[in-house]
Amino acid sequence: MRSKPSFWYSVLAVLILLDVFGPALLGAGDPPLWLHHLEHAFLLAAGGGFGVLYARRHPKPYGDPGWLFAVIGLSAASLLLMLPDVYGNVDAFPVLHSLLHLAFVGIGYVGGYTAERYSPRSGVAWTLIVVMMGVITATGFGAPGPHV
Amino acid sequence: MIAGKQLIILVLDIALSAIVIVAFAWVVASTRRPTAQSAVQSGGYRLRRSWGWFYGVLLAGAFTATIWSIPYAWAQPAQGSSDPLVVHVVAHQFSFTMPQRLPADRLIKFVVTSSDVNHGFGIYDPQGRLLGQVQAMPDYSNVFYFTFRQPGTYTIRCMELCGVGHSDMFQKLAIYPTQTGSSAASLPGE
Amino acid sequence: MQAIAPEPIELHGAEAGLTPRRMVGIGLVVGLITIYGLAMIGGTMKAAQGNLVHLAPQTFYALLTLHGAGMISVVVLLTAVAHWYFLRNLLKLRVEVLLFSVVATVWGLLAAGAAVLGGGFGPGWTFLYPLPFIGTTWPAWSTGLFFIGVLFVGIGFAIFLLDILAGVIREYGGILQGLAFDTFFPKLRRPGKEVAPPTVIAATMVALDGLLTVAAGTVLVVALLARWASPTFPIDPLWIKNLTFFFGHTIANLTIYLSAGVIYAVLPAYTGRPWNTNKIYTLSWATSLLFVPWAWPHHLYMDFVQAPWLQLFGEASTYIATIPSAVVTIFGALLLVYRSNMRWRIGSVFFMAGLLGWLVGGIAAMLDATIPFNDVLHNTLWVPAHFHTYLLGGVFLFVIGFASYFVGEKAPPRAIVKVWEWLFFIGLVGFLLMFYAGGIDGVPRREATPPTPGPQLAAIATGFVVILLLGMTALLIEIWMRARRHAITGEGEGL
Ligand code: HEM
Ligand SMILES: [Cu+2]
Ligand SMILES: [Cu+2]
Repeated sequence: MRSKPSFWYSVLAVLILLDVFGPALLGAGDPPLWLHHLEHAFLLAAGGGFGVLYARRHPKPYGDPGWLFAVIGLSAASLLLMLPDVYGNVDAFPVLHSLLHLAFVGIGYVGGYTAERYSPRSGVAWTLIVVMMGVITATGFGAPGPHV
Repeated sequence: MIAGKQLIILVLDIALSAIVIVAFAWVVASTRRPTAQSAVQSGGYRLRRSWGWFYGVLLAGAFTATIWSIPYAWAQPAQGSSDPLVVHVVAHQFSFTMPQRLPADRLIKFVVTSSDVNHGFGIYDPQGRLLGQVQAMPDYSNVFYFTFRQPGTYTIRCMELCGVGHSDMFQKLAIYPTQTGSSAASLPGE
Repeated sequence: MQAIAPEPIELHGAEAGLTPRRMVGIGLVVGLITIYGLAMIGGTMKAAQGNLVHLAPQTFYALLTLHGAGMISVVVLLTAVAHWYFLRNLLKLRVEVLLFSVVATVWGLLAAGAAVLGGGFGPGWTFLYPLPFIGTTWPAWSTGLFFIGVLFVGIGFAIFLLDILAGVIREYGGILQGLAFDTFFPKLRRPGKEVAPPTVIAATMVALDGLLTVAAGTVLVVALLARWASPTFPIDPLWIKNLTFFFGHTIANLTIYLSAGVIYAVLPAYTGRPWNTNKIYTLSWATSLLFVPWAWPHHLYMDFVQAPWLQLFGEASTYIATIPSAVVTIFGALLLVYRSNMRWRIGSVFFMAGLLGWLVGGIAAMLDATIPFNDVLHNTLWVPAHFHTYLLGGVFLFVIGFASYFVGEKAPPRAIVKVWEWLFFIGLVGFLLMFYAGGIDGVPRREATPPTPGPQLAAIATGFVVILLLGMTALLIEIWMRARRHAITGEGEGL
């Protein structure tokens, strides 16, 4: 019972750390835009996975509507990170960028946790929605048209 | 007045709607002689199966029929080879930059784009019938093959809401006859 | 794994005096009053196109934007509230959540309304990039405010959908069971549980596709807000047009599927016959789930640069998405009514008429969604013709029907109600016919001053709008008075 979650915890944690700090340490530049969007989706999803796993340890899964409002409020607030003025300024500094990526994990965590506290498997649903948004952004968010 | 594709569409729409309306009226009228659900259900399920198959085949047929007559250049490779007259069209708020006169009976390759917002490029014949259209999108060029069959004064009209002046965004296009052998074509109505 | 046992739920709202019934009543009143105002705006637009009143183009386009965005949001709200009314017992939903989503939607509408009426924001309800930013006649604040309003409407809808999804999983054990896949795989079914009724299947489909739509809508609005905040933010016009219609088409379309959930619950009451789930329903809703989100490319047929596979797949998906409606839901409704002891009330009349509007509008939509026809129909009045047929002549009729059912209609209506119904339907059909006539004549949609025969048709249509509004006013007053009476006698929902 105990070993299974902790195994997943460790796998996720390693993946996240590699993804967040690897590029900065190696001095690699940003990946192509679409991949970068998918990377953000991955980080959110990984955080969400953590949150869900953690929330499942609570004996009473079905919580107050407050959890639902919290998860929506959080999702809406985190959209601010997608605004170019926020993202563009951070993007210029590799370390800040790594920290921002860590923030994505945090948002994912809180989102997954709160949603799962609201109702069983809501955290999974929320995480999947976030991944979906990541995939949609990867189709062209922030990319210019062909003949600019 | 209504002719061509529009006529086909109108006839199909009226015919199909009429069938549906009659079916509804029949069902509504049937409630005057009620009976048990069990008495009608199995017959209804059989009918549903036939109707489902019929409808599925109808859709498959319609789909197959339509893919042979789509207006895209990639679907009509023959047009690319027949030496079309290339005409560039740039749409702006609220006018088109394009020639005022073009020949009839000649394949024209419109290359349509926009310098600001999305516009449309609709071709109306001298009787005011819409013959075809394409969108004018900034950053992209849409290639639209078209042949004017009759000489006369056509209207080019914007087909996409593009701002306050959208309704004023139309202009005349004179189509002159091409006489084989003579280069100086005369322009009717000018 | 530890089973996720459904726990007893106390409805906090009920203690606080907000009963589910009252909440639905509030939603209906707020929604219907808003629709009323927006319909008047619609009539004003027609009158302006018919040269009966004068509107400056900027005013016309602002009103057009408000009418479209407002109607879509309100109809989503109303169908959601009606569907929720039947879901709440099946899924043990909480009234506070609905309250929250109604409030978020209303705030969103107020913001959008302020942007339009105060600022004159007017690029149409699809606000196709880059029109909100280039050559504008409105201040920049109204652009931002409008998008924030759209975000709020999206948040309200997302809350509603997430709660339904959570309820389905709690109650039936998972999404597959919510879609009734246990008709095929009985092992999936929870011990002691029945297969999900059609109302729940519809809710599950709407929740899944709805959340996908809201996700796309959020990306869309954030991209536009990003462009609003920093004008150098790059946007690919073709990409955002796809995203716009993925969002806009699907959200408008989902109101029909929300309505289907209501129809499944209401028609059995009028006919006295049960409407049960079987394998056909499972297949049919799975088809809708998969293909409805792929129908959007039919809005981009005239963008010849669009990828060929999207054009063809879009046409095929649009066709396929009609099969469940035509073969299962509408056919099923007719089969349920056929030779039943149907009690004809305002509710049942409007539900039947709405089903007809859904189908007739659907036929016109399919002709338009056929590529070789689209080049003479795209952006003509044929488009508002068909979508008013199934939104005004379909979904809105379901809403009125539901309101009448909700208030309770044991007794047949007064004789005079026939007159109101005739007025309403004559007005409706005449108004729609003028739209179709304009479309087949190639009159473009969204014209402040349309070319001939647009103005002539619009002038006639205005007359029909007046008749429609008269009938509608009388019917709504009739339903309202019945509600007051029943509030005193204590008579509730249904028959
Ligand atoms: C009495 C009722 C109504 C009237 C008189 C009315 C009238 C109109 C008119 C005149 C237009 C502009 C058409 C054009 O020239 O492009 C329009 C557009 C529209 N209507 Fe209605 N309408 C009514 C009800 C509804 C309802 C119930 C809905 C939806 C549930 C609706 C949704 C829309 C939408 C989405 C548009 C498109 C807006 C745009 O182009 O941006 N309408 N309506
Ligand atoms: Cu990043
Ligand atoms: Cu234009």
